[in-house]
Amino acid sequence: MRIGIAEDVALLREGITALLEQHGHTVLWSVSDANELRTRMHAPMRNETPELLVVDVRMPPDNTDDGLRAAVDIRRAHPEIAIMILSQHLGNEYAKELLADAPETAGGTGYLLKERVGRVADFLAAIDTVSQGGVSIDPKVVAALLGSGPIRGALASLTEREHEVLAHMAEGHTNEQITRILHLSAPTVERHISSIFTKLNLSERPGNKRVLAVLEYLKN
Amino acid sequence: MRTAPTARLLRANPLRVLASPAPWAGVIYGFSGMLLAMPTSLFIALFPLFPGWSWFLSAIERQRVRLVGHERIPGPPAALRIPPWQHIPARLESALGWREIAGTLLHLIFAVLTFTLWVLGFTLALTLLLAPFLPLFGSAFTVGDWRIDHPAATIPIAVLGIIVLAVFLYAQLVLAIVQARTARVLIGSRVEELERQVTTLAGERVALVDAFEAERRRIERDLHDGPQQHLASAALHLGFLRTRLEHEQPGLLPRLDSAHDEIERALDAIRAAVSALRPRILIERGLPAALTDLADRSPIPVTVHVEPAIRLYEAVEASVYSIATEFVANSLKHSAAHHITITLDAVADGVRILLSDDGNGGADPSRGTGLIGISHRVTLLRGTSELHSPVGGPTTLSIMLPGDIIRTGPPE
Repeated sequence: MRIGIAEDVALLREGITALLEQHGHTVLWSVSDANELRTRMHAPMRNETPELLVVDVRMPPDNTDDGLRAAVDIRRAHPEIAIMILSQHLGNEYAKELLADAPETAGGTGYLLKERVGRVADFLAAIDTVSQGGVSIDPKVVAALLGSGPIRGALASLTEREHEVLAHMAEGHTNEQITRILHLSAPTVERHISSIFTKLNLSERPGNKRVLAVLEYLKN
Repeated sequence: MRTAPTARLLRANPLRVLASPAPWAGVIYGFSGMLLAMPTSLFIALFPLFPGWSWFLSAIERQRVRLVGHERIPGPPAALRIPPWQHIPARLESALGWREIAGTLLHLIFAVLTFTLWVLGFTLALTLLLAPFLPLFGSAFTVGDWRIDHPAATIPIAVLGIIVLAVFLYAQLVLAIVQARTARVLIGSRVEELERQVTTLAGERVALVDAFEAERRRIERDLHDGPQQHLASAALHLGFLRTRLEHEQPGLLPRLDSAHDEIERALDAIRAAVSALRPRILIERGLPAALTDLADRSPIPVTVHVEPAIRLYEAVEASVYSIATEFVANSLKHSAAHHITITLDAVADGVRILLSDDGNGGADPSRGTGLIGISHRVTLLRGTSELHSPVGGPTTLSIMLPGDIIRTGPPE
């Protein structure tokens, strides 16, 4: 896959590049600044448009959430490009912002904590999920969301098992992975998922239902 | 000490003082004082109008003292700042009104003293100084039988004239300073003086809050740019190492994984510490988003109404956020509330924050540190707070903050 990287810390930038290239991806370019990222994406050279972007939330010039803001703009201009956000923070508000248009976009969306790149297998799996149009949220972010108060709205009608399944969906796991992790049979997992869709009133809605469900989950 | 400049003037070498512009300021002060004293004698005759005149003269005097190096004398408190012909009784009931009258009479006495000084000193100095010029006009300088008509002989007299002039100027300056000081004591308002000191103190405290806030941000930034990045890089290196060891030395993997776990725990700890300092969302998205986030994290429903257009200064946003957090925590802990409402809107004279819950009330600042913390923060922001929490509920805390905490310019 053709990947662009935006990360201001040189060590991490080079590490991620090496990691991705070792595992068969092509890193087209890497930048260390949100403005550079915008320039790259505004007028991409031929054959330089990546299929996936890895973007650090906090980058120059302002060192606040410049990377994320650039990513939101890029998503608007190029909805087909998958975006993987790297963050130091659990803050769900950020994830929500980018995920808000996720169901309508072809490109997948990921939100991982920075240190997740060290869990090489997890990181590569998340990259794959996102590149196929899925959503992948860092397990720690999901856990923080789970622990953050009562479940309200339509989500309250889900059973405990369905919650578990939904949490795994949020982490970007496929049906097969969920089957393995929860020690369930494939038809059971599928039944849970379709029940989640029904309870969240997603059956009739257009767009990627899996992503919609995760969104609904994050909105809680 | 506020009178320091004038006190210094009197202690300094008189010759040096005479070379400075101070004596001339003293002359202007003395001369204008005499002019202003003329109506006073008129108003003594028209005594029912005297309080009005003393109000007017005092207002002038408060500014006039600046001529001799005093700061402006603080005027009457806002409640008394009305023309006396409207509220002469109010003025006569206040101690300040009577002190102004006394000040006006004293002003008259000083004017008489000044006049005497001028008649004596100024005329004498002028006469002596003119001595060398008299022979030029065919006249002569005479003191009794003593007559001097040679120009050269008049030089010492002229020198004497300069000395008399110097003494006169110095005496006028001393008199002016003494008069200004007396005026300060008589017509200065202690209330306003205190008000001003309170404002200064409050300003200093806000500056302190700002300084703490800046420090928090610095710590947060240092943690992010330093340890967090290094630890994330270390985790990445371990990840690389793991992919190699998996094939070559699987026996070492448990050790490696423990190291990796430790690094992630360190990062978790840093994250927890940073978010305790101040939530990132507040720094990056401002108060409305942070309050919404607070509501999202609450186990009971919290409704947030915040005018999104209002942006407050950063330190103020941090304080308001702490106040809201404190209130929500208090409600959850003590009130058994089912619903909390947070409202923040701009009103005519500032920013109003309403915090309320439907719990069982009975909140008492003397029994919980949370409410005291809130009231301290409100005081630091120069605001006022009012707690209404009858036993049985509901609890309402309304806070008014001054309008100057609203940020009008571009973001910092």
